[in-house]
Amino acid sequence: MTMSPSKTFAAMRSARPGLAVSLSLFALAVVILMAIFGPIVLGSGNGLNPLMRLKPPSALAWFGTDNLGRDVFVRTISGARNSVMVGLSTAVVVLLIGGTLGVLAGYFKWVDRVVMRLADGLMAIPGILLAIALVSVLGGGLVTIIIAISVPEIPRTARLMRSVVLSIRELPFITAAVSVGSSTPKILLRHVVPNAIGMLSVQATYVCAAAILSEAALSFLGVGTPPDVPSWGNVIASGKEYFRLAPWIIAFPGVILSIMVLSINIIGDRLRDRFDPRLAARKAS
Amino acid sequence: MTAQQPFLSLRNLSVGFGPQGAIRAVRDVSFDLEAGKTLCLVGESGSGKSVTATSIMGLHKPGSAVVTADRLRLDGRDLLSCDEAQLSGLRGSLMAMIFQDPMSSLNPALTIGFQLREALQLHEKVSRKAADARVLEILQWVRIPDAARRMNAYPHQLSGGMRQRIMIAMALICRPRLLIADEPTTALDVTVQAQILWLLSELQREFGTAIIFITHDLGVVAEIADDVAVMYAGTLVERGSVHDIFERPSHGYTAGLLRATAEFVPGEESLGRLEEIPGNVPSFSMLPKGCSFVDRCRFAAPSCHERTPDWRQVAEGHDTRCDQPIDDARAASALRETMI
Repeated sequence: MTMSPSKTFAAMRSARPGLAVSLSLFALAVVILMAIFGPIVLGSGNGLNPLMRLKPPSALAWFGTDNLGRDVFVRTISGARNSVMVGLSTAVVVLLIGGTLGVLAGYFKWVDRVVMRLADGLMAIPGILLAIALVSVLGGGLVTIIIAISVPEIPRTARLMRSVVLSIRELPFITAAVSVGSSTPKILLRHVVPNAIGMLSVQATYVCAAAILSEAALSFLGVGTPPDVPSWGNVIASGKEYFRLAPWIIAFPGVILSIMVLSINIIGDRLRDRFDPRLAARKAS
Repeated sequence: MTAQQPFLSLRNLSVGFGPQGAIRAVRDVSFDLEAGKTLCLVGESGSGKSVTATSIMGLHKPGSAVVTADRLRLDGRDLLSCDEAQLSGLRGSLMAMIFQDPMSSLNPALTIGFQLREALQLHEKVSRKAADARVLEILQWVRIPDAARRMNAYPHQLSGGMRQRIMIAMALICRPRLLIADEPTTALDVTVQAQILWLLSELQREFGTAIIFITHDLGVVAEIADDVAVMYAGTLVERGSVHDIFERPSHGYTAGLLRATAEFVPGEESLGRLEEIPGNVPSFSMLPKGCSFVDRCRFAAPSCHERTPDWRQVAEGHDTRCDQPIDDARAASALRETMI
């Protein structure tokens, strides 16, 4: 490689994260603060006020009110907690289970056969349908929703990890580790997993974003979060019948949901660029 | 170890890949190696040198290779009957290996110090502090400048020569008694290569390590080998002392290899055209009948096409797998031919 492209890359990599990433991090921070402090400061926004039904945004109710006179602003802020919890928990569950299965499948052929056939089966069913079926079997509640959203995501993550591990296990330093007497569990934990962590963290952001969307979709369809707990999905659902009369009920939580998911994806893309093996190889040379 | 039993002894080692081991990448390789000696395994790319080495170490992925041998003994142990856990205990402590590519043979995610410490602690119960002291000691021994600071460095922060020395340190930290070096100097420039060779001979003097050195650089062979084994198309064709092989090659392939080496004669303007061995190495699935070198051998007789040659002794400790071994008279006439 000549000097100039590697210099260009060095310059690109050392450049500041860029406006989009900075804004995304800011948006994410705001939403997380909302999730932590919103319900404490503003309450759950469940207070009904028949006199204030379907009022447009005003100084009293910044995002307007819904058909039961509840403040959409308060409910959107409080709904962040539910969405963030579902997003983070799902990411953790999916990474732990899917990541472990993927690493094992990538390293042991017999695990590969079993796990990948199961994954094929699960992936043949549309994720949202599978989630609806699981919620109806297991009953409502936060834990159920997290399980229902995790199950369709696990095969995808397991597949990704499997492919990453398949390429890592063929690298010379794995053979070198075997040749100094490392046992298989040590090889997996110390040599394979640390080199797969980058891809795993990128996948985490995508799973998190997808989980927030899935939770909203489930709540919108009426099988997600119970109506007394505000979530972006059921706030949007409660506004769908009044869309032409009171578009603000759907618009505000919808826009915030979109910004949140977009931000997480932008951060994920940035991480992917950072961990891309091809870019890393250029850095090393 | 008794007097009759060599430190490392191989008899008819064969390695097959593919379904039922149908592609036989290594066939009937036999040699012995005494402690404190260096055996150079030479031959062109794809002749089975590395496969032979990884088979001794037991490094083939389970299910990927079929390894058979009448005997594969190291220090009185039958390596073929060892299970994976036993082999794992021997790797690093009794036998160790240095790989060809220093750029990718270290884990990029871990520091040098961590990887060396791990290699040590896999085999010896030592405290973190004692382990660090040993790591520092071996890093200084392989001449890593500023070793204490380098322990916290990641592989990509070091040069190729330094990484190869780290690899050597990792292989040597538990003082193995057999060291297999698979083209350890191919990726390095000549001055670094000289340092590495010097380190290996130092090691051998100090600990009596047996070394199998895989290379296709005959200059390196002349420098370090006690014995030489020449491989061609998956099998050994000639073995003997380095003196015998260089002075009196008796197999057509060995002779061809030696003639294909550039020799610089002071005072002469040009080296002239470098000699070559005509043709290509046959593929493992289409080996010729009889001797596998027959199609490229300038001395081939009709009988060479008929039967696979057996080992035949040409001198004490010098064997060849050729039915028409080169004697001095024939070598002289062949040499005259090339002069004309």
